[in-house]
Amino acid sequence: MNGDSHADLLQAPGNLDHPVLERSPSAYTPLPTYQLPKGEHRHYQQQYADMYFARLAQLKPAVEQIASEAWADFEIGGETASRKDRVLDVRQGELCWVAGTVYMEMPLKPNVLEDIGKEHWIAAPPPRVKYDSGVGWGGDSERGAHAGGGKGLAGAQIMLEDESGRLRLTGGYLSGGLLVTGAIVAVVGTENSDGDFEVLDLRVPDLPRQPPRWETEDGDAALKGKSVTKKRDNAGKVAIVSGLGVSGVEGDTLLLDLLMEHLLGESTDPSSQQQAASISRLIIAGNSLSHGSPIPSREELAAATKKGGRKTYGYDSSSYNAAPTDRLDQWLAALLPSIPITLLPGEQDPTSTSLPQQPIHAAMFPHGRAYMNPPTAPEGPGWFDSTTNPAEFSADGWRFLGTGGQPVDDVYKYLPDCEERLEMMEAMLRWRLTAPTAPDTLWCYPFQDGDQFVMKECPHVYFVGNQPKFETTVVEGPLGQQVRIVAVPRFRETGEVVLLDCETLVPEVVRFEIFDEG
Amino acid sequence: MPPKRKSTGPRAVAPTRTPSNSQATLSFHGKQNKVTKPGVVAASTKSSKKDPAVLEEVARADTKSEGTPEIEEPTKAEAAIAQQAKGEEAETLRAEPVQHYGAEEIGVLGGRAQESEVGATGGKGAAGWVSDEEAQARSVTETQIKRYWRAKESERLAPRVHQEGLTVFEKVLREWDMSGQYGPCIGIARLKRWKRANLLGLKPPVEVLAVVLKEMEAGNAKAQRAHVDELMSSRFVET
Repeated sequence: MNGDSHADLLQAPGNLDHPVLERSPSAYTPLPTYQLPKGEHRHYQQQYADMYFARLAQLKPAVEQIASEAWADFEIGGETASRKDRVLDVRQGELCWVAGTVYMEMPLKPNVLEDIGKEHWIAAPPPRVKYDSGVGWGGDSERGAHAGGGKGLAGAQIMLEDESGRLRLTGGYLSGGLLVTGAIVAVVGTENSDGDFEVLDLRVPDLPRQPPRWETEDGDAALKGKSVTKKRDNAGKVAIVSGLGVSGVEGDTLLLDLLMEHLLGESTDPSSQQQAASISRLIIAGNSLSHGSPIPSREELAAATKKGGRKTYGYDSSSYNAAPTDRLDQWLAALLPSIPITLLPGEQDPTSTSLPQQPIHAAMFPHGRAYMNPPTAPEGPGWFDSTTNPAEFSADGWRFLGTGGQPVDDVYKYLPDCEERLEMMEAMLRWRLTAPTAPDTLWCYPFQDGDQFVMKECPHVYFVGNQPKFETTVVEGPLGQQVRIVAVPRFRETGEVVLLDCETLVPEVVRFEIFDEG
Repeated sequence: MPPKRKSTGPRAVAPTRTPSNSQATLSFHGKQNKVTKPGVVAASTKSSKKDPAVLEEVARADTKSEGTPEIEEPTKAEAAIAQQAKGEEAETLRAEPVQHYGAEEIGVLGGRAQESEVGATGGKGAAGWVSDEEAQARSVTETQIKRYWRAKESERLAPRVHQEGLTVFEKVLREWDMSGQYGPCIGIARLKRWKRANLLGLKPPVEVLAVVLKEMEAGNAKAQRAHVDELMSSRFVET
């Protein structure tokens, strides 16, 4: 702070007009990629096998093209690798390559039959951080099926699956890369005498085609017959925050109000107000409420039945506390007149628990819904966009893809030694899957026509909320795609907000801290 | 607080009424309270001989009284497939082809026709067709279908058993169900499965589409659901 700003404030009233800062406008187009059909068109009778089949059918051409280019001249001992159509067509001693879905069998992965049994007889085990038992891959010769003396302690087994069957994969190559259930890969190698496939190399579909900037808006304009060439102003910044964790107690008021004042330009001095005026949009990436999920956790259910009260099936209306949603709504309504907001639901928000989570309903925001699209005209960019999780939209011409954190957290559980969240996010982009573990360990809607989690176009910005700390990097693709991936930390714990400059796509962090006296 | 009365305390055991209690008792056992089903001869009447005809009647009545569940309302799975089939039928039988409209027609028709954006295959063709498969399928003749079927049968060494009573159409449809490369056949209508396979680029045979459309036009609603689907989701478990 220099002396000038002080002089601005400590002055006699003058007759000059105060310069009023204007916020940068935000060009925004939401995409309905993850919207589910409403009402009676949403069916749950179908099985998840449809989803796996559709995922394989959509990604197999891409991965086979990459694999055939890579292994056209793959030679070992004078033998070239041949392509096999089905996973079970591999022959012993023959060098070949095949594509399929990865399935990882891990002993500590939640198994629905075991869960049902345990629920009746013993207390539930504590939730696992990682699914593997620490024994290592089941394919190693020393440790493996013989180590634990049984299937339960054998360690993880990786298999490749398609419509014909499953093929167990082994080899030292596997411990190097990231693999989770549901990823589509192509592997080259040969079948050994145990019937396992020894992997020598592995390929993934890699990043899809990336649309150039402003493609969504230009495409729409061309369709409507409007002129396409438009001179566009410099875009501002986009603020991404996640994990507000409003719980209705007084403890969360101060940080939220600090953030609100900063975004509204009411705090500090004109230089940071200038920075705040350049923020054109606020994206809230999940977990705005700390306790809004409609399904009670197992501990809560046990506590409710143990209290001696009547066992409430489902929802106990007398225990509803409206304070958190009220607080969130007031906070949003204070921000909305000035800044457009995009709200993604998270794991603890009051909406569907299975992915893709549908938008938080307008009924939760009695004050904020004046800024939402009216129900008679739901299409079009709203000022306050309550959107799905995962969400895809185009802001300032760039294609954003964001989730509330559940897919990345689930992938984290599969990888035994990996703590690098950025590596997992990059792997998910290269697999072209927003939620690779989706039907297996992550609840999701049973898609029948096609897997919606397959990325058809590469985003420019991929942000994931509710991560332990802020991290960012740029991922490059084979066709020159560049994706900025951002891991957004939880605001309630770290007080950090990510500001992404929309011209350069470089993020920076603004941190709010409260200093306690003593 | 008023003193605790014995009758208001928690009862650990169900109360047994002693005969000294003046209240009338209810009795659910005993000969005079036996409720017999109509048609079944009461076992206690000694006058009945072990007549085989009577025994048979008892046996038949027993099986009848097991309860035939009402089969009028369809299961949820059947209802879902029926709705899928109806939706596909409505789209294919629509007269005007769906294209994207010009600016004038938007006002008249109240907006663009709803394209299903759901599913990875949505948005490509509003009714699920990539090109003119429907026209091609409608121009397929019966001889073509029979030729296709003969080619399918010649792929096998042994003839198919247990398919003597089926028409060629039904055999073609069952072979379509069992072709796993086009995806699972359970939980999805046959026409929808064909469209999905087509949109995913798996090139399903057009003769199968011709058969499905012919069955649809003939009003055969049962042909939309795979036969194994009916078997697998049957409500009645055979004992």
